[in-house]
Amino acid sequence: MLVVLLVCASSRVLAQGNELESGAAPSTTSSGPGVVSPVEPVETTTVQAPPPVAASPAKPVELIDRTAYMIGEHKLLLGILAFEYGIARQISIGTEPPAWALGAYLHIVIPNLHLKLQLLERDPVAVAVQVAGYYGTLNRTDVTGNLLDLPISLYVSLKVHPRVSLHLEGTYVYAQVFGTGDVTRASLGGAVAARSGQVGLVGQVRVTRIFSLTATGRYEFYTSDLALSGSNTSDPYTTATLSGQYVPAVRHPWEAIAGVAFLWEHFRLTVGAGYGYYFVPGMDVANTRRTFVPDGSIAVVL
Amino acid sequence: MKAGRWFVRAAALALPALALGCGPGNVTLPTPPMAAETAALVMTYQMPTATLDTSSIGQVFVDAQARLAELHLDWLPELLSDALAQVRTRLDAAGLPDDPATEPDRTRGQLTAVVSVTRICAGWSDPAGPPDAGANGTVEATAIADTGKINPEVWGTATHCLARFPPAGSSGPVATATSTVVNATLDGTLIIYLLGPLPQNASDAQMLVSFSGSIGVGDKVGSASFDFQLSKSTVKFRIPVASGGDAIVTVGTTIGIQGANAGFSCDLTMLTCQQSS
Repeated sequence: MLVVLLVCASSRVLAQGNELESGAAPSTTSSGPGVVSPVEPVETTTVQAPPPVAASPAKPVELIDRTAYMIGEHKLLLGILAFEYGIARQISIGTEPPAWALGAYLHIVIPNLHLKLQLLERDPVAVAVQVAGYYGTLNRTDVTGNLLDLPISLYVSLKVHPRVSLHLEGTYVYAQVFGTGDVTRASLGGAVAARSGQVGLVGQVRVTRIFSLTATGRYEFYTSDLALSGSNTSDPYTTATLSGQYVPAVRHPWEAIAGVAFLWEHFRLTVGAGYGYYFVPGMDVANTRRTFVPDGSIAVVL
Repeated sequence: MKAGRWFVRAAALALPALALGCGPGNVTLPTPPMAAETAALVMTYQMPTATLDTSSIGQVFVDAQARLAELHLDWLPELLSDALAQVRTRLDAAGLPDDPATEPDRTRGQLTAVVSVTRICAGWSDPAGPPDAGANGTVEATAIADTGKINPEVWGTATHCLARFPPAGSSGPVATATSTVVNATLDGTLIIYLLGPLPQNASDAQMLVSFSGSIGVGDKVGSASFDFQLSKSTVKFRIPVASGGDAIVTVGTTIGIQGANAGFSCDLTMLTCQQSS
């Protein structure tokens, strides 16, 4: 449904975007008919009119996701991966619909919110920080539990060439699962906590004003052991406690993605494909198996 | 605008600090008690150190019969197997192997953990109502797993544990196999070295048991220090020999006594021993 709405809305804004893309043509004026001068010679002075002012080319639309650039003041982005609203030019707030929609399939609803603040924008450098929070509740007959995921990211965007931008990212993720049942697989009434540090890089080559080639890389340079603890009373006579840590098999997951981005003023489309350990968008939790990594986003900006 | 900026900056700094303080920390695995001594004991069972000859075997046989009565093999293995079965249940639930010989799959994540099981003893009469640890005592067992591999040494403490064998209300083969009811008392330190997977019951237990404390039946409780080995219903125990070293006694229809240099088979009815190896 959301995709259908986005596509319908995008067809309208695309038209607007294309008009914007062509730029405002300089207005042309036609001179009036000539005037017949008297026969006598008259001393005349020629005054040269200033050349018509050329319209400055429209500023290209920047990538918003995983960069230091912002959506803009009082603008609303509606996408399949994120809703974002610009409270001010340098502050935006948003949420990610896919995490909410997980409840339909995985019996876990993950309300989430993120706040992005641009600390610096002085060409060719922009710096922003983003704080996000995901809180999931799992309720089934055999298992109840909660998930807390807190990624904090620093973005630095550099325009190294008029057509080439580099978007650097450093992210710290704290995640914890706690609950009863086999949520932790290790214990009943237990908890699991993990921390990770990640770096990311998005290279963007602007082929045209709206079309860019992108190359994305992500690497988890630090993965903590998953500390866990719990207790269980299997029968009235027996109480068991477990405390320990889970050492992940993959200490340094990574992913590499090649893609394209279409960035109109009111419509954004990114598509890509890669390989590695898929990182769940937003939550920045890596999959434990190396697979094909899809990437894609579609959004309208109002 | 400025306030918002500083709020986010503060939050960005504070949240990681808060997160670091949340949740359980990394576990430090405890060192199993008397690990070196227990390993040496396992070796003694594999390679007895006593030198046996026909002149001394009679006394060794007499000592073995006396020690056999002190081991309480009619109920102690079942009590220990029951506690270890609970440990096995928790390890299985945690996805940990229950056999020390199992090598973990290194392509998967591994768990390092301490599992402690406290079992309240049922008492001599297993009265109705909730278990009473104060009146009937407890057995506590601890097992550790290091990066997916369970340590063969499991240790525990019995604190004034009162147990009845067969258990009150039981009607299975254990109840019928035991001709008399045993009201047992156990109070001391236990070290169990697994020679196979953690048992599900006494019949499949493969372990070396070392006990030090007080043990008895009914009112006859006394201090004792002994060890024995269970290997799928075959019982072996160690007995010091006066000339030095330890002999290993195997309990069956006959009594086998194995030394470093020779083995003897002793008839319990005829009370005679013959060299077998």
